[in-house]
Amino acid sequence: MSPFRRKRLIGTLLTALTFVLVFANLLPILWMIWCSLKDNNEIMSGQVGIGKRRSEVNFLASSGTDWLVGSSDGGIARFKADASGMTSQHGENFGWFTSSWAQDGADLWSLSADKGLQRLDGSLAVAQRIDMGDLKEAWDLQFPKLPWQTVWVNDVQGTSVVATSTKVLAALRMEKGPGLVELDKASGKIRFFNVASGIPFGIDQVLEVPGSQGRQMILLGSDGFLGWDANASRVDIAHRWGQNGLPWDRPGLALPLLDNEIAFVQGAKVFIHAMNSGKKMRELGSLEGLDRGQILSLALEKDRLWFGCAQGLVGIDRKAGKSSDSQAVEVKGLRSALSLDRDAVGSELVQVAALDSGNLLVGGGAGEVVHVAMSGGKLVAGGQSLLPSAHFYIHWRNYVDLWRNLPFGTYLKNSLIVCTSVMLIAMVLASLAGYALARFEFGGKGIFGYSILATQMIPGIMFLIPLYILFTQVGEKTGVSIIGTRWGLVLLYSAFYVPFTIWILRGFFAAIPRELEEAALVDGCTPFRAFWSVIIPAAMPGIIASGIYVFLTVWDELMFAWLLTNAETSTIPVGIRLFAGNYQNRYDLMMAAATVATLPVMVLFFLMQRHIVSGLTAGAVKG
Amino acid sequence: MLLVHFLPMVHGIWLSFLASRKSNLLLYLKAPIPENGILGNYKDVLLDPNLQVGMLDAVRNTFWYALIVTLGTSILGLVGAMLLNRHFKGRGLARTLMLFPWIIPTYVVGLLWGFMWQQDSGIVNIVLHDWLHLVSEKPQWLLGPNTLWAIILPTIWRFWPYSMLMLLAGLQNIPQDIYEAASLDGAGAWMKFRQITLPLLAPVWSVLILNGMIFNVYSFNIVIMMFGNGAGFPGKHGDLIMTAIFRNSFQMWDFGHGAAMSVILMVAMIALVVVWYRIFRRDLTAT
Amino acid sequence: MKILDLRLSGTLVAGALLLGMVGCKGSKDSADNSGKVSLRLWAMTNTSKPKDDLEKVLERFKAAHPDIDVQVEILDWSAAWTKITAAATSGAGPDVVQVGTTWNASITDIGSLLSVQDVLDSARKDLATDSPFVRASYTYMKPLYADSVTSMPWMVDVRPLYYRKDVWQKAGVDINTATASWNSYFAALEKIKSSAITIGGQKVEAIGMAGKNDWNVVHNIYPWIIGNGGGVVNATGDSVLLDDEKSIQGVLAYLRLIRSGVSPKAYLEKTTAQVSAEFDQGRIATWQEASTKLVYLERPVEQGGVGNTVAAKNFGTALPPAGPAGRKLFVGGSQLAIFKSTAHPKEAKELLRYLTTDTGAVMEYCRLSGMAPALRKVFDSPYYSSNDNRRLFRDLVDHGMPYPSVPYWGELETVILNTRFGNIIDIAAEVNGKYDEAKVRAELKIAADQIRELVKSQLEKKPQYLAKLQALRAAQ
Repeated sequence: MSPFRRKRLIGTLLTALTFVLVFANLLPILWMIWCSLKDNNEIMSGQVGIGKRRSEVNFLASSGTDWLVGSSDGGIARFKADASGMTSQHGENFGWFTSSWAQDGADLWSLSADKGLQRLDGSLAVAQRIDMGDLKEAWDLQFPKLPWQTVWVNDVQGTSVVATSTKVLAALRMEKGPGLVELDKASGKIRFFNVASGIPFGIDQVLEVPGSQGRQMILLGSDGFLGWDANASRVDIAHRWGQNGLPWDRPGLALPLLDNEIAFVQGAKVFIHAMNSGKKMRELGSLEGLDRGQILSLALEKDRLWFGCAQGLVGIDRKAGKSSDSQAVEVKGLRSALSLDRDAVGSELVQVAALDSGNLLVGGGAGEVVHVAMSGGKLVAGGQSLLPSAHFYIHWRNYVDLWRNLPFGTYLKNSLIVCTSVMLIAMVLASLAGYALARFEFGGKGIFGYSILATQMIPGIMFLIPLYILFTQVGEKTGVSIIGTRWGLVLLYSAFYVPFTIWILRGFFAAIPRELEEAALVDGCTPFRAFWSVIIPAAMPGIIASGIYVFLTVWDELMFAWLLTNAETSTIPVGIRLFAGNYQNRYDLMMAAATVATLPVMVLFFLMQRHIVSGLTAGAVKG
Repeated sequence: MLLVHFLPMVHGIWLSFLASRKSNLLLYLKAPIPENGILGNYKDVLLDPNLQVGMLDAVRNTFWYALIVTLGTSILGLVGAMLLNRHFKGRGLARTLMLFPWIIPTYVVGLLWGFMWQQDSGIVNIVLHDWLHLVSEKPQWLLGPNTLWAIILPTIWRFWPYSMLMLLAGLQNIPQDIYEAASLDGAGAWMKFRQITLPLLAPVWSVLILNGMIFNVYSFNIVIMMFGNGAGFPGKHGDLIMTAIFRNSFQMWDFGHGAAMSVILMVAMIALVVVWYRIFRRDLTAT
Repeated sequence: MKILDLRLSGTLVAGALLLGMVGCKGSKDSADNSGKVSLRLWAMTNTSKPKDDLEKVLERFKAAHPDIDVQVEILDWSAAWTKITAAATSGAGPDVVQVGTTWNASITDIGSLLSVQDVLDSARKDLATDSPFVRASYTYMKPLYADSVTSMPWMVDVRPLYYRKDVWQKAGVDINTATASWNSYFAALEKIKSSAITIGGQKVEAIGMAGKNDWNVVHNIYPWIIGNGGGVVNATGDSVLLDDEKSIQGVLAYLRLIRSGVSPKAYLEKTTAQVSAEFDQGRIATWQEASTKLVYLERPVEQGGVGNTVAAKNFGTALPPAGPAGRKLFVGGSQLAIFKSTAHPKEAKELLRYLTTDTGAVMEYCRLSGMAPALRKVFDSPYYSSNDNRRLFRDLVDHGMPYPSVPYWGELETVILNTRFGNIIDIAAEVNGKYDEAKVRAELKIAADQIRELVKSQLEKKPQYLAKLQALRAAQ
């Protein structure tokens, strides 16, 4: 090999090595950003990639001779099921976020966080769409002054939807509090009802009372439940949890029964409440002894109530009053029939629905659908199928959640104001002082230089209490409060970082040839003009670089900001620390927060990197 | 300046001579002097082994931390600088990207690496164990002696780009003709590196060593954020001087001793800087 | 030239300062011009919407006292210690402040807290009972060497066991019999471990134990020490018990959970919140945490809870195991106190009275925060009595053993015990070579010596303590 080629080969190898190093160097940052887009469970189980969403069955309904099955991630399918087996007619997974479903004749309504309210026609194609943004906008117009309320960790906006012959009702969790949306099918008009418009508390679930032909609805909320007259669009019954014998906690499930009764489920307990009679609630019974796990769904079939429990299916005679285990029909071996033991996350029975006497459909946590028939007093699992598989899901919503949980805008604003102010102050003051230090001889110059260096030697922690007390005293004496204000922080940081900036800039000014300004002075410039139009431009790269250096350093300061700011004036480090303290187990949100804290300086750096590089390197050699 | 720097410093030094404890916190600067004399706090800090829990560990850790981080950033920085001190396509981009860790705020560094070091689900162990099979069992980075490495490596990662930048500038300032003259004299690459590159970079080394000392001895954010947000104890091998002072004085409400410790630290640092200046004076004035 | 420079820099400084002030709001004035008394209340992040929730609870107070306005300021727990220190030192604190139960003695010792004996007296009269609050509260509200009551109990931190009913059942063990003694508890956990149960594709560990990077370290170990008849210091706070054989055996019993592998080592580098999330994700069968966890488990995902997880659907609560010296549990929580610097002591006391002795207010706030009420009467509410998981709270509170209310507990806990217990956990995790019981004993011995030193210095420096101590000893 010729020496020349060898040299070239080594050169190429070195270049490759450089880029390998660059890549390895960036890996932690990339990992941070990647994890900020993952699901927390994926992170916690050590999964490197992004997985598929869980397609939990959350909707089962009969439609003529077919079954409609929907899942929370926008999966929907039409099945034909009977004793002979189960065949999928048509299925699709739209990958919508937290869909809920409602039947409307041959059509189907879906309410999801990202797609809003949509109507699907008989062939499961989207026929009409009302954007969540539209809903939101109208909502904002109607209730502009409602306070920011719910802490959302997961962005689940649409929770429940019901369609009647003339209207579509959806219970929505909006940023400004939960409430009811009413869509008039004929006119397309949207109306909103919430705490500000006659509903006594926030509601998040809407249910239709069977047999009322869409007239009577039940609205469930965190504080109680309401009867809703759908024709008149008003509340006709209101009950709060913990009153009139209602359970103290919001029940996990509710199901309106015929003859004005409503069944509530809490854990493994079932209560029946007579709505109109004002009678006390009666406890139907508890499935606790059956050890089928918590009740996750309810279905009504004639006079029998079906409970889909995490690990099985149980039926209870509704009229029997206090039920006993002997009246419950158990499905033996259902677990294996449902393939619930597949060792997949969340493969538990989560939905149950009844078609007609003795015909049931159950849904699982991973999209399993099984037909169960009752024959001779026993339940037999028939055909089974799976919903169309779920989509991969990038959790960009972590950022939305982050923004909701933290007043990040405030932090960002504070940080930007403080950092920029300190940067400007440092640039101006340090230019002057650095120039003076580099050019003029004055008494105590040496001491000044050393004391600047010495300020860098003091452990910040020593300052902390004296500073706080001094600031308090100044505040008391002068009436100008320093603590808890942005300008107090600016003052503090300026004092901290100006000396160091002077130290850096001194080198720059020293490096500028004296002849330059002498020439300017000879040309008739005033000393100030010479400084302004000759020295400053010459030193500009250094000034900018040190300014950005100060910006970055201030952006990084945690200890003092922690003590000297309050809720309105907190900077990003304080916000991040608060967040990390409160959400230690939400790695996804933590990584999102870390990314957000880094992004502004990254952008700044990218824009200014040329100056930083040339400025800082020039300063380095000049000592 | 006076308000923010000088007065608090004087107060701080003043406090170090007082028995400023929780019980007389309200007296502040009027607190009595310690029973064992005006230098009582200093005596206690230096001599009383029971008083300062884990202080020795912290000093030892900080010594190794500062030393290894300074060495690590310098060596990595030199490698990076030499790789970048060549002409090749994409050099500007490579340089910019290499600098990126340096702009990550330190509290984010602590948070991020604490997350990456996790034994069961952290990416470091996934790479070492599951992918590369370098270790037979997933090591626990945040427990025991490994802790020191768990704080050293992120710090090196965060600060080496700065060293690289400085060294790159230093390299570019070395006139090419010196190398050419050496080549004519028959010097090999290693010879050139040892006899020309390293000595001529001396001023840069001096700045890097100074920075390394100051930044690393006063390092706080990374450890605090990595170990329970300041709520816990980073352990025998993860505690640094600053976190130890924070715990021993702030959380103990014992400002007298805390201030004394800070003053001792400050004096020690100033002494170190003086030594530094003695060593590098020639290099500093040479340029 | 120099003069010019100075002038120039002067203007520039002024300009820069102006710049800094741009966007800075005018400072808040505490004196309201409408003649209303304005009270500042510092509370921590007790609920998910701390400010809104507390203001909601205060609504009735404000309606009843139209002349009093309450400004709520929320502090984070980790910031609170620093801020309250600074506020106590500078004398510029709020009127009413939430303090952790163990902080009360410390802050009282600084001399920053007002006596609220009269609030307690009126509460006794109003509620027609001599002990309106849970037993442990009395220890916390009147520190050992204090002359009077300096805080009112608000919420109690108790820590039930959360266990997976399905896993315990699969392993064939019953939690209520298992927790009858430490040995049966260990046996049950070992059985769960050896059953190697997987649910939903995940291996379920018998129990989760968080590590040392946490403020709960001492709270986790202390019940094992007192459960064995030991202690850290005695009730009068003048003698150290930590290196007693009983205390040492208690610590060793705790370490058995780590050593035997029923809790994976990986959890030792996690904090309570992080291991707690492992429970939510279905990877732990048994877990002990504050009662607030219950709210989180019951709340649906869209409201920030984990209500849809396998764990949330299959969990129950149980009393932690009873030791040889009986079932002695951790009890902490929060008190409300008034800073001496307040300009409106009368109104501040009125606010204190409302927040701590009004059944409705206590009930509402505890419901929101998930903490147990300090006001006994609240337990009679069906909210507690009719719920299987919460029925346990009263028992937990009754079994709770408060820490000795000595003024130096804060230092003792946050520095000495945290550090030494941290080292002990490291020894158990074998991070520095083989486990050796002697090493644990050595650490406890050092800790005990350090505490002795601390106690000695505290008692020596405060003659009034000694006098109090004599009285306490005489009373015993």
